[in-house]
Formats: sequence, structure tokens, C-alpha cells
Amino acid sequence: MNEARPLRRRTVLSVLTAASLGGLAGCLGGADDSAPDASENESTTFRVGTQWNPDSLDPLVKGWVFRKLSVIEPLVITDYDASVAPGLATDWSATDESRQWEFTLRDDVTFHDGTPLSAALAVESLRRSFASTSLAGLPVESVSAADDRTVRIRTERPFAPLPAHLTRAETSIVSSESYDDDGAVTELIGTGPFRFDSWEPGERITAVAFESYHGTVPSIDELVYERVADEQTRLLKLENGELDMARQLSTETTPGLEAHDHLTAYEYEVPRTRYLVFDTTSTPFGDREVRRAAMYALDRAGIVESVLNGGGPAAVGPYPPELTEWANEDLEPYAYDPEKARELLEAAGWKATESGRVRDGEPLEIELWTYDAWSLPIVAQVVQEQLSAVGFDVSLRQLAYSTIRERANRDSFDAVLWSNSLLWYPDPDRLADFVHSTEATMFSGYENERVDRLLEAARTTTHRAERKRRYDEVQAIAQRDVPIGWVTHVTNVVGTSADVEGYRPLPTETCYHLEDVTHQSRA
Amino acid sequence: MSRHLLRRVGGAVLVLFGVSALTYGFVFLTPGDPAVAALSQQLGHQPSAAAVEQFRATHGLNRPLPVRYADWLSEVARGDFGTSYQSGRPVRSMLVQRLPNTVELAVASTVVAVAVAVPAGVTSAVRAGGYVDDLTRVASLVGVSMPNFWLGYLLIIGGALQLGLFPVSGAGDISHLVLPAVTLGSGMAGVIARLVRTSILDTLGTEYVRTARSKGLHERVVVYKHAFRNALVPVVTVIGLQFGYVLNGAVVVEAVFQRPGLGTLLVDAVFARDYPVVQGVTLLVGVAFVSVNLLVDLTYRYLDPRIDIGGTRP
Repeated sequence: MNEARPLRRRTVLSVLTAASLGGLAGCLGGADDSAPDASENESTTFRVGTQWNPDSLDPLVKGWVFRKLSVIEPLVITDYDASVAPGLATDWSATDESRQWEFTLRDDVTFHDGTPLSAALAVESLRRSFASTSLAGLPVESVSAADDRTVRIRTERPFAPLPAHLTRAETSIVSSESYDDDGAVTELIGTGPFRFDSWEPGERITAVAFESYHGTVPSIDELVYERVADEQTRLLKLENGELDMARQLSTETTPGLEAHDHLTAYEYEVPRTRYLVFDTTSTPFGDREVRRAAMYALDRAGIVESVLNGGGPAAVGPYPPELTEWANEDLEPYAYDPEKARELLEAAGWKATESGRVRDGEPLEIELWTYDAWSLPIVAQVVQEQLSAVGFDVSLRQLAYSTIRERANRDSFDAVLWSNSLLWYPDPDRLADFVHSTEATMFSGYENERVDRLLEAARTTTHRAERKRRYDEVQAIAQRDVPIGWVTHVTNVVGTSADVEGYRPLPTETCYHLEDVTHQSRA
Repeated sequence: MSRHLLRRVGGAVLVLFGVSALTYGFVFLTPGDPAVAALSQQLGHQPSAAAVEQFRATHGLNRPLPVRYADWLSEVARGDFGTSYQSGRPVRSMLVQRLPNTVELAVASTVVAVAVAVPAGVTSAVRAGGYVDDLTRVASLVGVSMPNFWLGYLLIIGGALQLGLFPVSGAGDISHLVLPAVTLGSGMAGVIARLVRTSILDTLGTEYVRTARSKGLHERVVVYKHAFRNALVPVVTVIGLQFGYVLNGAVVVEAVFQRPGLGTLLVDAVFARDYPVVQGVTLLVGVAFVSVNLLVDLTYRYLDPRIDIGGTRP
């Protein structure tokens, strides 16, 4: 059945296409001629569908869209192993106790309007970036040109994560010709392998191959980035030949994709983690042993198998060790041990009675909050079930993302199931967002002086092994105290038409690298 | 007449003022921090505390609600709808960009609905009690009861995937419009068909129709020339009111077909707590609704000159 359907659709399609060949030949790209010789001279259009809204041209607002499409490039980029790699800068170094940074620029780069890249132009672009809301809070003191090829950045204090922050799309080098006098973006002029061509705000962006690119010129002539918010619709459009690549699909879609001969599924783990944030300042999770009990009650491998279609995997710590060296591989995992969970709860004073667990007349009732993304609601249901099995009385509430943040920051709560990318800039300083007593943006209320000191010290040195040792210890302490309980990592699925070749998914998803992809015309 | 029109327009402005005040109040009462929501949508990751603070300051979110509302009103009076929290683009240009897609959908689905419902309703009335009548009534019921999103997906599977006749989603040429218009039009068609049927049946029972028949006029002339025009008055009212339903339904249908119109703009804006955009869309939809109602009033007079909307004659 599965094979018959696309065939019939294709037949109808090609009959229709043949009938309307003349007028539509240009717009339909490769779909109009089945003769293989003729297709070689045709221009290739590659259509990508994602859920995200391309509603701004400003790299400081939606720069990540243009970074993903390789229209703009920063000084340094994130590599396939989630390390910081050369981008527009070939190398960099820090002096003055990691306060003065120098980045050497490539000498063969031109902007899309033909202007060669110079340190002065890069400085101008970076100054605008660092003044923006997106990068607020980075301790950058000044940006200047040391010479024609060297950009110098001074930070207010020793700041080792600086290069990692410079992989962020907002720091991409953009020609000042992109802006008018009021700072509004009129035309986006970057340096990437694709050149911005046109857009329909909120709907699609069209980019074309940049012939004077300093690296390999893309084999795709035209790139169309289209917003298709609904996952099912993205899948249908891919199936129907209206897209060549559908991004951000869930693992449930893989079998469906694989059933089609004309489609390919790419499944890969990303450094995004689903986790429980416990309120460490209120009952019952103010008690570390209760938090630990909750972790022992969770069958994380079971969650992966039962509701995530094998796509996880179960998380031990914040980082998936296969993806980054920053993961502490010696972390003690919380094995699935409901009996131990019950013992810990008993020891903490929560005695089992006929009507559930009670301590001093108070029942062990908790509310578990979550929001609708990354399959969190369905994972939350299993978490609810598994915590209930050891005696928690769990009610589940699904709220809006920003509502949870607002309430959890303001009031006391019990537990929140949340998901985040832990390497959207590839540096473990991000752990401060989770467990630092004053800097954390997650809301567990966790305070640990040793953790604070380790995090602050790790920022001040560029010595990698020394930093790694400190972050390992932070991860180990957090594992013991569990202000945050790591549940699973996330597996992403990208579907493409089968004639797409050379696609290699970047785990951090900061760039699609479609400049490396070849795309045969559809016959 | 013109004085009446002025009074109606004045009333409409008051209604819109009420709508804007209510939505402004409600939007700000909804939980969720707009700075966090808009920034997370914008950046694609969690904003830092410093970024949130800077955002609040830039967008005046620290000021009291009535002050913000007053500012917004005075800007709107000058034709400025503010800028989107998310994209930084002027709300006005976002509305201008999206409006045509929604208008197209609203008009097309109304045309579909009327084109199907009026002949169906008339036939049903003329053949009242027969099997055609039964069939039409069942079809109307199905049309009204079938949820838009469900019918939409059925049409996508049938019309786009199986037959390959129409694109799955998006907007552009007329082929993008067919499936959404049928989806949205079907519910409306059900309601209108039922109403046309009842209305024609009522009219067919009146004195003047009996007179027309007794003159020996052909039944078709009786139905279409005499009964139909009078039966239209309630139908036009309902089509006018259904326009509100169309705007509502457009939110769902646009989402199913990923059609970039006001509906999808509103949904995105609500999720991102992008208040200026929510306010802009609400106000625009309010204007459309009020205008259509005004238009319906004016149409009565044309259809049935006995109705005097000025209210000066009995």
C-alpha cells in the first residue's frame, strides 16, 4: 500500500506537469523533464521546511535563521564535535589573563556585494552586535582593529567562554551597507556561501549560491527556506514533493519516512536535554533525599522505549558524552530502583498509609508543570505514572512556556519538566544557567558555594584540562544534590527526498551546511 | 439616511474602542511574561536575565498598564500600530502583508458557501419532504458538524496527496485557495442552506405567492422571481453574521493549511505574547466585522425597500 500511493500520485503529477509544461517550466525547477541529459543545465532549487518563523532580516533579531542557511558567518563556528572551530577567523589567542583576545581574519573573504572583508568592517559589525539585547550581559569592554587583519576584543574580566559566544549567529559579520542610518536592515549582506535574495516576511526566504565564496561554491543554485509550522504538514509536503527537506520531525515519523522509497530519514542525537527542575526551597523537594527518591523512581530507558520511539537516549548528566568532551563520563547514574525510592521516602519521613504517603499529616502531593514542545507532555505523563508508583500524588499541568518561567521565578512550585539546548554556544559555562546560586535562569533556587566558586574559576582560564576538571566537579555535585534531574536527551529527525546527497547533520543545529549538499533533479 | 449612517459609524467606533480596551486588558491579564516569551521566540533559546531587562526597558514594559494603553491608543489614532516585539517590524506592514490572504480566503469560502447553499436550499424547499430535501438536510448537518481541522486534513489527504491536484499548504495562486475555501465554506454552506430552505418555505406560504401562482405564472418564476428575493433578507443577515464565523474559522483553517494570513499571525502572536501584533489583528478584525454588519444593514433596503433603516417611517 505504501508503495502504491506515491506511484499513483507521481503519475498524476507528471501527467499534469506535462500538460502545463510550457508556462510552468521555469517555476517547477527540476520537475518538468524526465530526460536526464536535459536536467544537467537546469538550475536547482532546494526547499527546506521548518517550524520557525523568518520574520526579521536583522541578524541581531533572527540571525540564527540566516546562520543556519549559511548566508552569514561569524568569526568562529561550531564544529561537528561541538568544539569551537575557525570561521572567518583562522586562529585566535588570549593574553592578559584571558582578557585580551585577538582574532586573525582570513584574507580571501568578500562580502556579497563584492567588498573585501577587513578588520575595520568586522569591528564595526561586532560593535553593533555587542550593543544588542541578544548579547546583553556579555562582559565585552571594547572591540578594535589591531591591524588590517586582526580584531581585538577586550573583556571586563577574564572570560574564557568568549570564543564560544562568538559562534552565536548574532555575532556574524555583516556589511554596514546592510543597514540604513536608523540602524534598520534594508538588505542583508554577509559573507556566506549563499547570498540573500528575497523574502516574504514570516513565510519564506530565498537565497542563491554566492559565486565568489571563499570556500566551495554550493552546487544548489537556489535555496528556499519556508515556514511550515505544523510537523504533520511538513511531512505531507515532503511526501508530496513540495519540500526537499523537512526539519525538526519527531522520532515517531521515522518509520513513515523509511516506508517511502523516495524519502530518506536522518536521525541524530542533539545536545538538547529534557530535565526536571525541582524547587529546592519548598516542601517536598527542598529535601535532597526526596529529590533523589524521585530520580530512582524514574525508568528513563523505559521512557525512551515506551513513548519516544527509541529516540532519546536516557540522560545520565546534562551532556550526551557522544557529542561533547565536556560531559563528565564518570557521573553516577540514578538507576531505575523503585524500591530504593520508597526507602528514601520512608527515611525522609514520608510514611506510606492507605491513602498515600503522609508526613506530619501532610500528604505527599506535588504538581508537575510542563509545556508543549519536544514531546514533553507525553514524557510528563510517564513521569507522573512512575512517581505515583512510589507514593507521590502527582497532578500534571500543562502551561505556556513563559507562564511557567514567570510563576516558577516568582512563587514556589514543586517540579517542572523542561527542555533546553545545552550547547547553543559550545561552552560548559552554560551550566551557570542551571546551578549557579545567583546567575541561574532555571529556577530551582539551588545554592552551593563550592559550585559557584568552581563555575566562576572555570571562566577565568583558557586552560582546557583545568576547565574540564572544574566542570566535571560541578556536574558531579549537581548529580548528588539533584536540583535538576536529567531525564533524556533529544533525537532529532530530518526527512529529505532520496536524491539529496552529501547531507551531514550538525548536532548543534547551528548551521544546516546545505552548501555541501547535492540535489539531483526530480525525474 | 446619512444621519443614520453617521450614527452607525459613531457606534462602530465606540464598539471598536470597547474591543480594543477589553483585549488590551485581557492580553495583559494572561499569565506569561512578554519579554521572556518574545525573546525566546526571537533568539531561539532561553534569554539571559540581562537580555530580559534590556527588552523590558526598550519596549516600555515597566510602565503601568493604563499609561501603555493610552500611548497605544494615541499611536493608533495616528495610524501607527507600533512594532512587533518579536520581529521588530511595524505591525501595520505585517497586517498589510497578511490581510490579502485572509480576505481572499473569506471571500472565496463565502462564494463557495453561497454557490452551494442557495441552490441546495431552494431545491430542498421546493421539494420539501422528498428525498432531495432529506439528502440536503443530512449534507447540511454534516457540513455544520464536521470540524474544520478534520475536514481540512481529509481534503489534504484526498486532494493533495492522493490526487496530487492541489498543494498541501501555503499561499500563492488559486490552487492554494481551493482546499481551504472548501473547508471553511462547508460549515457556512450548511447553515445557509438550512436557512434558505426555511425562508423560502415561509415565503411560499404567503398571500402574494398564492396570488402569483393563481395568475398562472410558471413555478420557476414564482420561486425565483417572487419568493426568492423576499426570502433573501434573513439569508443576507446570516451571511453577514457568518462573516464573523469565517474570520474565526480562518484561524483554524489557516493553521491547518499553513496559510500566512491574519489567523496564523494572531496565533503566533498570542503564543509569543507579541501584544502589539495581537492588538493590531484584533482591531482590524473588529473593523472588518463592524463594517460588514453595516453593509448588511444597507443591503436590506435594496432587497426590501419597505425596510427603512433610518427608522423615520413606520
